[in-house]
This record gives sequence, structure tokens and C-alpha cells, in this order.
Amino acid sequence: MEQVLFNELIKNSAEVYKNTSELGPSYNEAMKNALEKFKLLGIPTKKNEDWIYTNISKNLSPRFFARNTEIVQDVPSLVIDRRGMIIFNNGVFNRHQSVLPDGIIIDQQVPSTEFFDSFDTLNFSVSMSPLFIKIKKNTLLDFPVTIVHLVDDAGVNKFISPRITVTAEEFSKVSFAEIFTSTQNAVFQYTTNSSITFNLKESSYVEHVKIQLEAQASTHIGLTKANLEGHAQFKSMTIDLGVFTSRHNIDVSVNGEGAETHVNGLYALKKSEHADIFSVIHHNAAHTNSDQLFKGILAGESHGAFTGKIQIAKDAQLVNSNQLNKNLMLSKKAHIDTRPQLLVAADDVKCAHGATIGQLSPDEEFYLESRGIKKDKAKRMLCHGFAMDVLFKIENLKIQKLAIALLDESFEKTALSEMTL
Amino acid sequence: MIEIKNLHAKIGDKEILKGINLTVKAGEVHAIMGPNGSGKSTLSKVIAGHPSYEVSGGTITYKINSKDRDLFELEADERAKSGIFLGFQYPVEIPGVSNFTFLLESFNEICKFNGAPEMSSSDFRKFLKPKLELLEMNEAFLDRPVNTGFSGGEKKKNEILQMAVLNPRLALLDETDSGLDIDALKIVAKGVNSLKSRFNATILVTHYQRLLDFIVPDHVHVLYQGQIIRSGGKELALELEEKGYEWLIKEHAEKKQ
Repeated sequence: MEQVLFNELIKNSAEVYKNTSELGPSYNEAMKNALEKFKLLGIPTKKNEDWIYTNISKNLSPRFFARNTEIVQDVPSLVIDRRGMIIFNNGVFNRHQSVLPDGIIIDQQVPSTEFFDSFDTLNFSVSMSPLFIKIKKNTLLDFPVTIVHLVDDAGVNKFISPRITVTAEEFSKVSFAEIFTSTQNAVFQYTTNSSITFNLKESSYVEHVKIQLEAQASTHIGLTKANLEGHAQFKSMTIDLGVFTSRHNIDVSVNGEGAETHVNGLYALKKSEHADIFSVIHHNAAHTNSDQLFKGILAGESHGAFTGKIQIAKDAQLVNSNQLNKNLMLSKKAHIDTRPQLLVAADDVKCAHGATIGQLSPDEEFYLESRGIKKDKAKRMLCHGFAMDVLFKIENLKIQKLAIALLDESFEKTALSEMTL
Repeated sequence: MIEIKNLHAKIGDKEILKGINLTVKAGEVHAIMGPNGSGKSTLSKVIAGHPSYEVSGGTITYKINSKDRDLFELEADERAKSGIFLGFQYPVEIPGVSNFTFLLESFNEICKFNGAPEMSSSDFRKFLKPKLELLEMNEAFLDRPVNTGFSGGEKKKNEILQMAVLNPRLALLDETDSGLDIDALKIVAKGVNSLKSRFNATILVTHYQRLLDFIVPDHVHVLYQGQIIRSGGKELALELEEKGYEWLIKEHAEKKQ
């Protein structure tokens, strides 16, 4: 099965290259080289240590979205502020609809040579309109930039491959909300394989809130990558609101002294949804900090997985690193796998990590009930509180508000009200 | 207001309350004292409806709108809505839910139940102001998650704040004095005293006399091994402070024989 799909995809890649001439010969060359690399790497199976919890090839689409035409439609309702919006349709950058605020410009397209894994390699090799943007030095935006990845009927049964590279120059500060969704979440089936990279120069600040809200029957594979120079700050939040299968790769390299990263997230799963979070934080310099809180709420027969690797290089002394994964199980049939992995080569560092799996506590419920709140409402409030604890870490309040609303709409209203309380 | 007759309760197979009789009238303050493990906390939790305790005998009748009701017919939230309030010995931390949301939710549930109009957020903030002042609490308390990261004293003050908001007819205060320094104790006592009226009653559960210097009880009961072995006036608390519980326990043992 995997082999059939794989062969079909390789064959279909020719369709993509019919529409990539705009990218220039050297970029095209690099894409084709990457495809050769992907051929060697293949689609990962559960035999791969990094993929033991997820059978990713179960429901992958057999063809790439290969049309490079722009669609004109209404501004997606999820855009927070129209002064800053980046729209992708079926993985293709919509130049006409997108609005880049002052201080953010289109940057030169530079082909990648190193890749996180085979899906990142594949993404690069078939992404037809990679977006490169630069946040100019000293740019401080007081409104968030929304990136919307919208799939419409043309994207059904296709591989959607958006690719974004953001360079944040010195002393800039911007918050991004990146939302993956479709025009018909109840009906569509497709595969998203996305990649976003942030290069943070000295003392820059980037907040990135990714919200996975794809069509229910879809597969979402996404990489969030960041490279931090000295005193840079990267705040990452990954919110998964449930889909057939999702895999979030997060790869943060803290390369300069004084740099700091927060890698947080929430997965709220119901029915038979599956989400796999795979996070790696590399501390490559001394005096760097990282903080990680991932929370999961699992209802129905859902399956969640969390892998949190912290790698501290030999010379990276005086590193502070905190990691915590907490899971709230709402049903006996839900399943969670969690594995913290610390790889420490330095000898003077502070690292803490932990993982918890639990149910709603009767004492907490009783406390709320004793204040006149009905049992089922008490349970909902406790679940909500459990999630808010992490969503409150979103610094941009407009993004925070949207995230809370989307959680309510796509999880709390359904999973919690259907929950057998 | 509330009449407890021959109350037996157990947790798992362990019987903790073994025939409690207690009548509390409106306007009264009762203190329940006794050594650790005598069942004091259990009694207050059973009255409030904690699901972990099973009532294995006896009755509790509680007057609602001058009608006697069997308390066991009411769920915990219905008891709260009918004016029963439990101040917890160990208030529960709820990260992610702000104190304000919690108080408003709770207040409006109780309003709704009693046919009173619900209050808007902004009105509720105004309504809370004098109550916060009474307890010498900073307004910033409201925006913090419920009890999360609160000191012991802050948690207890927060319980009394909830009591002030909900204005119960019967307040059960379980070891409200434990973990409080003398200044915090005075503030908490001031709060409780200011809420007293001839329409409501208070049951203080404590094993120290200290609290009773500030909230003066009308009746003092000594609970030992799941039974009330002695009842008296406020002077009984002073006697206990002086002589400890041993003499009562001995007397009780002799009586049994």
C-alpha cells in the first residue's frame, strides 16, 4: 500500500514541475534534487523510532495539488486583522489577496538544502509557490499577522504543500496566527504537508500560534522550525483541534547566548481522532532557556502522542530547560503515549521534565458543586480551565481570543456536551 | 433550621459518623470541636453532599421556605443553591478558571435557582468591591485563577469572600483557622461576624479555641469517635483549652461502661 502510494506520488510530481518555471532554474534544480532525496527516505513507517505512535500512510492523498492559478474569493473569516494577512489557497500563495503590513516585505527565494525529515524534503520538492518574507529591522507590529491556509474543492484528495520562510531582523517583534482550515470541514478529505521556518536574528521576537482546524477526514503533517540567534525570543503554540490524523513536528534551535524559547501546545481530541506531537529543542549555546507545556484533552476513542526531545550541546552550559506534558482523559477508551527525552552533553545545566495522565478529580468537581454549579457544568468548567491554563500563554490577546473561540466551537461545544458525564 | 438525627456515615467500609444528633437554629453559632480524626470534617462534608461519603443511617432535615426538606434528596449543587455553604479546609486549586468567572458563575446559578435576576459582569465587579475591602483583599485577586498559587491565608480569605458573595443561610466553616496567622485570623473572623444575622446560622469546625475568641459561639459540641460526647456553652471551649480533651474522653468511656 505504502509503495503504491509512493510510486504514484513520485510519478505525479512531474505535474508540479510543469508550473514551477517562475522559480528559476537553480530553484527548480534544488526541488528535483530534494525529490531524489525523498525517494531514498520514503514515507516513514511505525518501524521508525520517531513514528512509532502514528501510521501516517493510512489516508494520504495520491496526488499533488499542481495548479498554480490564483483564486479570487472573500477574505477568510478567520483573518484577525486585515492589515496583515497571508492567504494560501490549496497550498499556493495568494499574492493578490494577501496584505503584508509595513515593515514586512517579500524576500528572495533561497532553496533549502537541509531538511528536518522526509516530509519536509517532500514539501520543498513540490511546493510551487514558496513564500519568503522578511521582517525589517526594528519593526514592531501592534496587530497580529494571520496566515490562513484554506483548502477548497479543488484541493480535495490532493497533497497540499505550503512552504513559508520568515526572517525576523534585529529588534523586530511580530505575532503570527497560522490557521489550517478548509471551506467544508465536514466533507473534504485531503493531505496537508506544510513547512514554516523562522530565522530570528539578534534580539528579535516572534510569536507563532498554529491552529490545526483542517477538514475532519484529512491528514495534517506540519513542520514548525525556528533558528534563534543571541537574545532572540521565539514563542510557539501548537493547537490541534482534532482531525483524522495529524502530526506536528516542532524543531527549535537555540543557537545564540541569551536566546529563549517557549514551545507550548494543546491537543483537544474526540471520537477516533489522532494527534502526534513531535518536538525537538536544541540548546546549542550557553545561557539559553526553554520552557515547554503541552496539554492534552482526550475524549471518545481518540489517540494522542507526545514526544519532547531536549538536546543540550556540550558547550551549552548554564541552560535552563523545563518541560511538562499533562493529559486529561475524559474517556476510558482514549489513549495517550508520552515520552520525554533529555539528551544532555553539558554538565552545568538545569533541566526539569514531567508527564502526567489523569482524570477529572472528584474533589475539584465537588468544590464547584458546593458553590451551586451543576455537576456537568462543573466538569465542563474544569476541562475549560485545564485548556485555558495553556492558552493563556499566548501573548497576543487577539490571537488568544480567537484560539479560545475556536476551541469552544470545535471541541468544547461538541466533545464536552456529548461526553457521558 | 437544620436538624440532624442519629446520623451515620462511612467512607468505603469505614464508619466515621456513628449517630450524630444536632439541632441548629437561625441566628446561632455552633462550634464543633474534637481531636483529630473524630469526624468533624466528615460531618461538614456530609451536610454539603460530598459524593465520597455514604450516609448509612439517620436523617438531616433542613428548612427551605419554612418547609422541612430531607437534605439527602438534594444534590450538592442544590444544597448550595438552598443556602448551605461549606468553607473548605483545603480549598481546591483550579488553574485556568479565573476567580471572577468562578464567583460570577456561582452567584448567578444561585440567583437563577432562587428566581432572582442574574448580574452582569460590570455590576458584579461593583458588588464585589465592598466585600473585598471587608476582607482586605486586593482586586487583583479576582483575575487570578481560583486558589492557584495562593498562600494558605489567601485561600482561606477567598473562602470567606465566596461566603460573602453567596450569603448562605447555613455556613459550615471547616478548620477555617488552620494555617492562618493572627492578623489573617482577625480579618477572617471580622468577615464571618459581619455576615452573621438572625436569619442565618454558622457551624465552626475547629480544634483550637483560638478562633472562638474572635467568633463567639452560642453552643460548643465535642465530637469524638463519630459521636457528640458533650455539648455546652462557650465556656466549654475555654475549659477544653485549659484541660484538653482527655478528661472528656475518660468520662465518656466511664459512662459507656
